[in-house]
Amino acid sequence: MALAHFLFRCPLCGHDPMAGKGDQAWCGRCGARFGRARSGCRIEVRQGNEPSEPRPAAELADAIDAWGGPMTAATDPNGTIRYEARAQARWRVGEEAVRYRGRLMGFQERMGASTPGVLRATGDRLEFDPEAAVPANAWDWFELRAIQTTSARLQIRTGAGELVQFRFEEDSPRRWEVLARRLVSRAYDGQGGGAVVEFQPQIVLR
Amino acid sequence: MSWYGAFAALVRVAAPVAARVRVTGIEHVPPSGPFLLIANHQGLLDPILIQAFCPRPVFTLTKSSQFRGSVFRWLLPRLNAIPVRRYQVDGQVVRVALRVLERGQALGLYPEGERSWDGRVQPFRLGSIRLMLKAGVPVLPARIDGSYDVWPRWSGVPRRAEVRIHFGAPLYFGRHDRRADREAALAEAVRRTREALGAAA
Repeated sequence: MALAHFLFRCPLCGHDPMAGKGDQAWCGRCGARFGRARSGCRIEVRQGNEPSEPRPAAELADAIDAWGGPMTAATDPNGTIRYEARAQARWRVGEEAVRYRGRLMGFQERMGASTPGVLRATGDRLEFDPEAAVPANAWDWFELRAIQTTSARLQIRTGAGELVQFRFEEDSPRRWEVLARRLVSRAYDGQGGGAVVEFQPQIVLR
Repeated sequence: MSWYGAFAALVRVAAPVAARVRVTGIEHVPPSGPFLLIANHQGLLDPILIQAFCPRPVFTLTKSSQFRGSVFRWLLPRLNAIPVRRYQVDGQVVRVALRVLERGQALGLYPEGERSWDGRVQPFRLGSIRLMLKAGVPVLPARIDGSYDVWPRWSGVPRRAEVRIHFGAPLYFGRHDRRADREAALAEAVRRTREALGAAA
C-alpha cells in the first residue's frame, strides 16, 4: 500500500485524487506534499517553500472526511452516485480446516483465481463487470452482510454466502471501504431501516 | 524449547533492529491462571511484539487469510495463532478461545479487528467484548504506542522507531453466562476497556 491510499484526497484543499508513490503523496492542485514523519502517528506536510510540519495522521483523516471523503468524486453535478475503478476480483471457492495436534483450530478460506474487471458503486448497488465475456455481478447494498478491508483488498460477504475480495490496480482500498460503508448506510437510512453500527463481522443496524 | 518460545526469544533479540521496545507494567501480568489480553492495533508488529515481550505465552486470534500457504499454515498454529474469519460471526473461534482459557492459558484479542489507518483506537468489534464477558476471566489491557511509526498500515516499509508497551492493571467484569446479561453489560465493558487503552470513549 501507499500513503496515497490513506490520503486518497488532499486534506488541505480537498482535491481528489491524490498522486503518490510509496511513503510520499502530493496534491496536483495545491501542490502540498505529504510524507512519513518520525514519530507520534504524524505525517509531514509541506506547502510551497514552507518548511515541512508534522501533523497528526488523525487530523488529516478528519480533514478528508470534512471535505466529503469519497462521496464528492462519486457524485456528479446532478447528484447521481457513480464511481468505478479497475480491480481484480476473487471469490471464495471453499474453506479448509486448520488443525494442530489433532485439534480443530479454525477455518481458512480458499480463494479462486483473479478475475480482472471494473468495480462500480452506484446509489443502489455494487457492480463488478469482468473483462472476460462472463456475466456481470451486481449486489444491492442491502444484500451485503459485511464490508471490510483486509490488507490492500476490499472484502464483502453477501447474503447468498459469497465472499469476494477486490484488489485495486490503482485506487485506494480505504476509499472503497469508506464509500461502500457510506452507501450501505445511506441505503438503510433511505428506507428508515436505522443506523448501521457495525460493518463486520456482520452489518448490524440500530 | 517450544516453537513459540524460540520465536519469542528470536524476536526479543532481533527487535532492536526494527524498534526500541520499552515495556512497562509487567507486574500486572497475572503469574498464573487464564486471562484475556486486550490490545490496541497500530501496526503489523503489534501481535509479534506482544507475544515476545509478555512474560506469559499468549494465544492470538489471527485473521484467517494469514494462514494461506503451506508454510504459514504449518507455522502459525505453532506460534499460538488461532484463525478467525473476520467477515462472519465465527462460532468455531469462540469455542477454541474458551477452550484456551479453560486450560488456564492467556488469549490475546485486538478488539478493533484491524490495524488503525491513522493511529487512533478505532471502534471495538462488539463480538470481542461479548467473548470477554462470556469468559469472565481477568482482562489485561496492553497499550501499544509507536508501532504506527515503525510500520503504518499504508506503508510497505518498516522504519526504526520507539515502541512502548504498557500492561495496565487487570480489569474484572465477572462472568456473564446469559446473553441478556452480556448485552446489558456491553456498553460499560466497552467504556472501561477503551479507557484502559487510553482511547476516546
